[in-house]
Amino acid sequence: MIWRRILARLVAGVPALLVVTVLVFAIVRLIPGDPARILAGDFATDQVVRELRERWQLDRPLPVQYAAYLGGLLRGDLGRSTATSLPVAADLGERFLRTLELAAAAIVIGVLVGGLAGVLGATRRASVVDYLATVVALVGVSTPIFWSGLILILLFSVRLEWLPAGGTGSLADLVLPATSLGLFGAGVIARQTRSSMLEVLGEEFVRTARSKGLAERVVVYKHALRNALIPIVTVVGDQFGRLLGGAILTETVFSWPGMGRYLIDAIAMRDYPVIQGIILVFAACFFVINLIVDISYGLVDPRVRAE
Amino acid sequence: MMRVVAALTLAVAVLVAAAPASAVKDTLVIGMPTDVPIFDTHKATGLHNGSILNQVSEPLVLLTTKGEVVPWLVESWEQSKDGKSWTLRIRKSIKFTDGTPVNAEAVRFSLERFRKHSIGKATLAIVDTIATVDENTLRVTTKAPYAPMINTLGYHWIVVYSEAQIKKIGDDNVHTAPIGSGPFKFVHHKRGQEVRLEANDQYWAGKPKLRTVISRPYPDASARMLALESGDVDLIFQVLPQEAARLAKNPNLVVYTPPSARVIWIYLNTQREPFKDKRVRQALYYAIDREAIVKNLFAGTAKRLHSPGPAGSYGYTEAYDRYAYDPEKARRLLREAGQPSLTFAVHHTPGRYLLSGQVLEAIQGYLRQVGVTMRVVDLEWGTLSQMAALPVDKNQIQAAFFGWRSVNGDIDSAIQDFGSQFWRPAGNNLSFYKSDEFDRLLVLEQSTLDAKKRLEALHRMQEILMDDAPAIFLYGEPQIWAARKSLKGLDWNPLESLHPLHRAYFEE
Repeated sequence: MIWRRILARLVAGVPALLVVTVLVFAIVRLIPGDPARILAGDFATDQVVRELRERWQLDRPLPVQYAAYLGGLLRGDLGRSTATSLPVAADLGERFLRTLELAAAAIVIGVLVGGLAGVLGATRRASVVDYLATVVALVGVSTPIFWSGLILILLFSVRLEWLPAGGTGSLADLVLPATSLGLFGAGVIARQTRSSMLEVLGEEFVRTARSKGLAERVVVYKHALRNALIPIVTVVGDQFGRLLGGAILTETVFSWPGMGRYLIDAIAMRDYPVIQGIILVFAACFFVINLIVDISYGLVDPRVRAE
Repeated sequence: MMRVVAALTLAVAVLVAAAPASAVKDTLVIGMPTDVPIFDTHKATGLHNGSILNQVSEPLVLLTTKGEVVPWLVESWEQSKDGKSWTLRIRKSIKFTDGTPVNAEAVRFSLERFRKHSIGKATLAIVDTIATVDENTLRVTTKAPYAPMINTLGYHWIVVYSEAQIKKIGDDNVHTAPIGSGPFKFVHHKRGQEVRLEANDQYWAGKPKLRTVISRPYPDASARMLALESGDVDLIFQVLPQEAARLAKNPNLVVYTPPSARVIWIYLNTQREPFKDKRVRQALYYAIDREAIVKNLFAGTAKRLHSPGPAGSYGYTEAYDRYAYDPEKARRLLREAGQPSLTFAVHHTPGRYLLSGQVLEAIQGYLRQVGVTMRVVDLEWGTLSQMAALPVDKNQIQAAFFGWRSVNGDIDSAIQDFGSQFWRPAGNNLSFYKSDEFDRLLVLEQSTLDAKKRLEALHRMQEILMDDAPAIFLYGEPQIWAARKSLKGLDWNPLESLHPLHRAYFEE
């Protein structure tokens, strides 16, 4: 039953992705700038620029270029980067995994920190803990990532010398960037958890649970939190998307070899195949995240499953 | 009990004594602003990446920051009587790290390969034929006599790769296992993460002292600096000028500012108002205190230009810069030209050149004092480069803040663009400047075999440019590196790259 629904959603996603390919293809070509001229460098004569344009088939009519692009996509070929002439798919795959690793670690941190702060804020409303959680959440949401990232490096790498200042390879390398990115998401998750919990805690069934003599811990975490989860899951899904965007900044500050940095460099070079590939992957990510969010509604709330 | 303690103490003492006396550090980690885009020097971009690429594959000759050409793989050269043919002698008995010889054929093969790719096409556009004469002699002919040819061949993208290796792994796969003759051998390149090189103990110019060289990208300037301060890396490139002084105060670090070939100009479009009148262009010179900009904004790390530059390139002279800071004179010239309160726009790409935003703000302030309003139009590079490439009748640019570099250490490559045949889009004359005398001298300078006559011509050309002022030649950008103090034996070319690192080492 659930599998059929997933399959139906996946099939429905194909036309959406097709529209994305058209849009991306058009948009990258609408940005002013000529990849051939940038590629040819400071010394470019018109002759060289023309030759490069021919070589990358940028001189052909747009529909022909699009057909070639789509044809490649159907064969699983994302084309070659105009900047390095290497296949885009291989590079993108590697970098996508890196960004995913970072975003996943960040969302775990975000959910743990944000969720806990939210629950504490709701159960101890108007206490010092609540105010503290609110302040932390506000700071998390409003601190620019590049700033908090640099502060983390300054503190933990330069002063305390506990963690590396950037790079990848070990788990230690993941700690700072994931924390920096995770705290950014934690703020929103905390606010949503708090308000959602407050609402549920005022409901009749919570009073019933309490009057049955259940421990407060069971009431809060088993009964109330479970019922407060739907809006929280929605926000977590949203945040995951935002984190993919936020990863662009985090990756720059922490020298993390993910898609964000790759995208910025590609845009500067007008590396059309790379830009198209990355946006397509981002679009697919959002699609998959939405799907997962929808499915998890069913998991947390049997009523949704029944519909 | 006592005996146990004594035994343990003894054991520890033995262990400590047996441990190797703190070995001298022999791994160099470099923090760069970008990753090497592709580990194939013929296809690479980003000048500073030569620092890594050239450790594996070497240029034909080395350019120094003093404008000299040092024999390297090519040990001597000679220009023919008609000026169009160059005989290059390749140093004997050098071998690639796969054991094949670096000979005339190897150099020919690599030159041909280089000129197939985009940068090579533009750089070697003047080259006609490349042919081997014998085992160690190569002849390169040019379409027209071109005096600074040997400097051009010193461009650090022109490197020699083992042909045998390229044949073996395929022309498209050089970046996976490049084989050159440099002081270090390629181990791996994890894209976006690190490049690792290991010492080539058979290196022809001497066994390298370092065992391993690692390069990692740190795209954010502050993060890069913090990586050096935290000890993650030993050497970084592109330190912000305003941070250089702070780093220099750290007793464990040292800041290097070797001269760079990058010069910063403001092109003035001489075919459009308000810059058709030479007096207006000259007035801008008098109005701007270039010395103060260099001193205050760059903390003295940049170098004021007295001609197109770069300072230190062959042929450069300071003799014809008569523009001391003189706002009164600027006002007078503007009045004479009937432009007492003019307004113009300057195009600029934020973040592309060091401190460019602050420099333009300072210039705005100077110009306001003489009644000139300068509007700054910020455009991203891809957009601006396309706009600037339009021909004169369609080109909307009045003034543009551009960085330029001489790739060959000869002033010719910086000033030839003021020749009228190089008007955009054919070349880079964005001032659309035309002077018959300049054009004539350009032909003479590039074709003459008489070094004295050539130098005279180069000087006269600078005199003309300083008088006609088709651009404001502001300053030479510094290349700012910072390193651990114990790291010795570093040397640079003017193209933002380290020379071969076989002499580099860490002091105990």
